[in-house]
Amino acid sequence: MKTKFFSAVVFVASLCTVAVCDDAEVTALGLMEGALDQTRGVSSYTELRMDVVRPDWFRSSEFSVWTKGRDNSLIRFTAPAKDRGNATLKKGDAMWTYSPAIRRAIRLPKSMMSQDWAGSDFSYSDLARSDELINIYELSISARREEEPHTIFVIEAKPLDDAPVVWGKEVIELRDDYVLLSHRFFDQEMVEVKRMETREIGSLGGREIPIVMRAYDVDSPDSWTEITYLSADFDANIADNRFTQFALRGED
Amino acid sequence: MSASVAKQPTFGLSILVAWRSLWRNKKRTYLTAGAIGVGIVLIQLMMAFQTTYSTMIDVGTRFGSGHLQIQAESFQDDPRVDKVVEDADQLLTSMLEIDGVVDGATVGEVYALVSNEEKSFGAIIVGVHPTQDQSMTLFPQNLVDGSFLALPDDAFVGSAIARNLGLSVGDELVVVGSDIDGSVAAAVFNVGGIFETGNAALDRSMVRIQLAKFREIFGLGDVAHRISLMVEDPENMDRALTRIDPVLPQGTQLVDWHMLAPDVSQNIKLDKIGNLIFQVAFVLIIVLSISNTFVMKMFERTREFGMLQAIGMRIGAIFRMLMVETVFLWIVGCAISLILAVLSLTPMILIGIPLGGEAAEQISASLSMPSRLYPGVDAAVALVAPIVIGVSLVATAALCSLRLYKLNVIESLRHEN
Repeated sequence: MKTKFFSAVVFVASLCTVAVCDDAEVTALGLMEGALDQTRGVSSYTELRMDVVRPDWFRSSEFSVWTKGRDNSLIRFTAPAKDRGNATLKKGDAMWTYSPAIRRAIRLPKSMMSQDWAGSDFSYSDLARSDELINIYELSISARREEEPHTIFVIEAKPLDDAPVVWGKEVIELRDDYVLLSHRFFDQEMVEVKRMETREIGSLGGREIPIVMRAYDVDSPDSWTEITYLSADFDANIADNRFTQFALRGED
Repeated sequence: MSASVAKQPTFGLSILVAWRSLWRNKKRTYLTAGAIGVGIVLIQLMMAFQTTYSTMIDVGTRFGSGHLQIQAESFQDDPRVDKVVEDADQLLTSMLEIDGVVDGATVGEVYALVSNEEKSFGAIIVGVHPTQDQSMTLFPQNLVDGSFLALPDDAFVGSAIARNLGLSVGDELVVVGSDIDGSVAAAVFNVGGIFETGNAALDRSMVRIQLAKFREIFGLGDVAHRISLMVEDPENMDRALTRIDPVLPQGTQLVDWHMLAPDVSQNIKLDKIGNLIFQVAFVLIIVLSISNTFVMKMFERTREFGMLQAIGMRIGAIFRMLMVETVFLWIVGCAISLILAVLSLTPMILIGIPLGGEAAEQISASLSMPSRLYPGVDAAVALVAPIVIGVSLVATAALCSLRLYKLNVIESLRHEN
């Protein structure tokens, strides 16, 4: 099972940090909704590096990501040279992938959404994730603590009975300015399986964001995927035609 | 010896008397022996068809798996493009030199997307040497359109994939997956041929391409994901295994057809258990129905036994005579079974039993069974049923004859039927 790391990265990166929660009124649902609402209508352009680390293997790739709202995103590889030009387009629920080697775009079938994306720990469905956390999970604040100048909320998300989710629960640590600190995934026996944690918070594109995030299986901490933000522009003016098959092919 | 004990009959005499007694009631003897004969033949037939598992295994393993496979460790549980067997072609050559290994192939296998225009599905991409595939698998024979991997860029596509993607021979098929470095691997193929195996899972999910092209696309050298082997006797692989095991390279494992084709293996197990239960029940029915004849015989002949005792024959000698009678009965039954077996098996061996009908054909395809069944006759098939029934008969007769020891001579003599 893949983590929902990537979408979380895209999502967190595109958050607006202006809203600081009012301590008295805060609810778990309000926090997550507030976090998600920040992304509506927001456009971003970011450049990321992704390192996939295994005990006997290492792979680093870089890509550019354009997002508009939560429905549209375009990811294009810029490195390594072998992968340059490969791109993935998401529009709503639909996803396409483009390979310059064959000059063709392929629509991804639903059944393939759980496959690895670009050799990483993320699946295609991780990229496509949007409102799941507020729609099919029951959210509650299980703890909060003060780490001056911030309040940190621990949000427990339990999937609703009929939710198509393999996890027993998810635990999210969110700072009051919506900076995601960690996201942990528990199996049905409530044993922690996967963890995603923010390893560095910094200022980029005029905002506080998690700059380095790492995802790994709790069982094998020496294998991980790490994403590092290289540059970010959260107020980018991105035209709608950025999210078309034409743009996917890089013919812009 | 005291004078009161009469001279006991010799063994030869008991045999003679037993033989004569057997034919005192010809009709009953023929009926009983007939029942024994039919029972033996039925069990023999059942066993004869049971030995045709080799066909079932053969057909079940000829859709790519082979009898044995060399794989990278953990490939069976988690098949990934980077879990490969190194120096595959050379390893195959050395495997084929091993006594008991009759055929083999180096095979590459990854999961990837196959696509045509707006439609795409997940599929298993299998890279094969066309000549090896021709001798190892039944895919080339199941061609329904086009040709089998005639050109390097050809893809040999399952019929359901072709239908779902709207492809026919000559069309373009796009394959997108991950290569060994995790980079995007993509290629365009021509649909060279379409196969239909009748196994929906294969027809829906498999695309076969040339191994050379496969290695090129997925960034692989002289490696394979599976080295499939055929052995002489798949039901008795221990000998071949002991020869292969010592020469297996580090980091690889052997997987046999029980794991590769678990459905075939389980079908066989289930069939064996079912047959065993059926055969045991059958023996019980035959023996129980015949024991009725014995019980009747004991009652009818009470006076005879009393008389034999009165003229000095010991009970042990009478008992022995009855056992000999039973053995004779069994021999007559066996003779009848032999005639029936020859009459019934000869045509079946010569022409086989067609399973017939489209429905049966589909079932046989899904169970990896051939469309005609042939019985297999060996020493076990010929001997097990007669011996089991013979032993059961003698035991039953002995149990019934224990009544002899309870008989009182005077009462026996007065006994009326």
